[in-house]
Amino acid sequence: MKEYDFAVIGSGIAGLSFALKAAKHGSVAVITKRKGADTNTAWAQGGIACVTSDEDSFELHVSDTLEAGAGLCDEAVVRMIVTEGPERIRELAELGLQFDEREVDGHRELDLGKEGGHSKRRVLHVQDVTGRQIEETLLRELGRQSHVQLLENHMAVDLITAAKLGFATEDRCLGVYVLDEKTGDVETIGSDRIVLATGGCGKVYLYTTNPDVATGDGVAMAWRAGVEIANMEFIQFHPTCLFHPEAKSFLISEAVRGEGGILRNNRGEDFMKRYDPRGSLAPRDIVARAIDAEIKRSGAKCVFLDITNKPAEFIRERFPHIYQTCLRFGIDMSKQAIPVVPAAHYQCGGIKTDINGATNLPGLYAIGEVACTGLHGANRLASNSLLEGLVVAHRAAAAAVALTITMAVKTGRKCLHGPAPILLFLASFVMNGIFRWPLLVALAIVGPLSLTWAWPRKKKS
Amino acid sequence: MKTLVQIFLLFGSLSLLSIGGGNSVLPEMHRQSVGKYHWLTDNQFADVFAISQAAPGPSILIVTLIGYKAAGVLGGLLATVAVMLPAAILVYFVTLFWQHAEKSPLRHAIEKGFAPLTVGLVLASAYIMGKSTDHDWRAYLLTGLCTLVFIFTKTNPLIVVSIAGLIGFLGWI
Repeated sequence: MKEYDFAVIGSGIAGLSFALKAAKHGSVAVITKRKGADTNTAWAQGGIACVTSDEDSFELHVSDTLEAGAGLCDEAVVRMIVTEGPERIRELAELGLQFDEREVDGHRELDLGKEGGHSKRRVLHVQDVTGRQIEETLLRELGRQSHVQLLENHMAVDLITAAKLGFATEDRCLGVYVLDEKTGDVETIGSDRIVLATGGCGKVYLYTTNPDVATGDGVAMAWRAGVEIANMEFIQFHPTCLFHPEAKSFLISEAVRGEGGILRNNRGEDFMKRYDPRGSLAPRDIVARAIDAEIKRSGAKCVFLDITNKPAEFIRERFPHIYQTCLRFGIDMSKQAIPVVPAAHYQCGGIKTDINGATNLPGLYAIGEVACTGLHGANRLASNSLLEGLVVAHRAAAAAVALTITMAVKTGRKCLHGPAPILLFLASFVMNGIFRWPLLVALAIVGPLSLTWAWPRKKKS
Repeated sequence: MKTLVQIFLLFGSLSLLSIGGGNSVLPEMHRQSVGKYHWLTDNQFADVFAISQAAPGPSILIVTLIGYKAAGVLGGLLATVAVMLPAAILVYFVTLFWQHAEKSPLRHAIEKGFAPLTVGLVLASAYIMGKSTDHDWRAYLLTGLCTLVFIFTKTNPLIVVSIAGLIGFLGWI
């Protein structure tokens, strides 16, 4: 058995941010199914929603999030995540991540993108490869930490809990069984602080924008350990996944619509206006449902996203990755509309946690997409997920580090809870420590007393 | 010969009484080896305690050092065997029973009921060790500081022990 102070399962933005913070306080294992960078984070094109400009305000970001969430968000959680965002973004920039900037009136400022559901421009991005840049930055920093071990090609199989081992103590998470995919051996990793950062479950669906690793195993492991799960019925469908027989889960970022892309049906109609006054920039759930309805009505296989109204040069500059990929499939997005379909994109629910990522199983934390903090409600606002990953990972790391202290206090409190055990404790201390009675005599007196006290009684009905 | 028998009886019986680990029987060990048999002095007891804690291996090896003080190499060996053997035999049989006794009220009562006793006994050990080693406020301060460090952080004991050792070596205590 290998022991670590912290064991993190998953190497996306949440898992890596947690690992970097925890590494200052003890040894960390980062367990990941494939390579470190094979994560949903690395596929995120849009960016991170965060209030940074003077025109924007925390209140606007909060109300946009609440509106997208269809009344099911936890407002206190939303406000906290939105307000703590700028600080976390600053830390990310300090690690060397350069968000895109632009020149305005002779000075440089962040180039903020606009996305569906946002009332202001507030999405920080690095071209259209924000996620990949974040992943690279965090992994590079992780490589510099001597306390962190990155276990690639290691798949977490199941959580180890006190209840599963049959301990009579209060249930808590004690470790995780991990399959080494190279050797085929199952290793036991012991840690009293386990963090699930395993992402979502897109692969459960036929069409998804998620990579192959998003199989929902974090939720499954938590469920098997008896941990509370919430809102799993709210799966967000991305309205615009590239529709091409050879393209596998390629997402056409919401930013394309943000920059003026218009959805058209097979007859070339701007059909979104019929469904929502905001047209193509309506929140994702509305757009996805509208496309679904349009496809069913017309019998066509897909709809089309048209951004040919923008100059070809702008498109190549702002969306190099999307442009090149489409081109590979024979679609020049500067000249023709891109065929798109809705696809499973984000798991809004998950393992129920508090604002510090703590689950109802002591010692188990869940952060990022796998968790349900209450930020997303029934529907996630675009680019809020990377922000949640950063903010909650930071809070969870602080909580997990503080757990050492609370555990010492708690263990004491649990042993000495109530008058009877305190008396027993004092008696054994006084007899042995102060009066120096023979141990046998002391035990002969307090031993039977403690057994009588602790003997399980049938509960009165 | 008489000493050897005493060593065997003392540590053999302590072995069976050490609920919560070796540290919970330290007061009894101190009472008998220092107070009753006069195998070593108060200060020597504190020294062998510190050595057994700092040296690698289980801290119960303090009995080896006490046995050695009392009756030389043979005493040391005998004390070690005496402290291991009865507990080992007991654990062997208890394990057989424990696995099958998941629902047994006795198992539940022992796990829950002995916890406060263990905490009390360990505190008694701390108190007695403190009394025999700490003679002025600086020593009490160091003891208190080390306690706080161990409660509130997960610092490697070796680091704390080395720093405390250095403080002692430099003659500040």
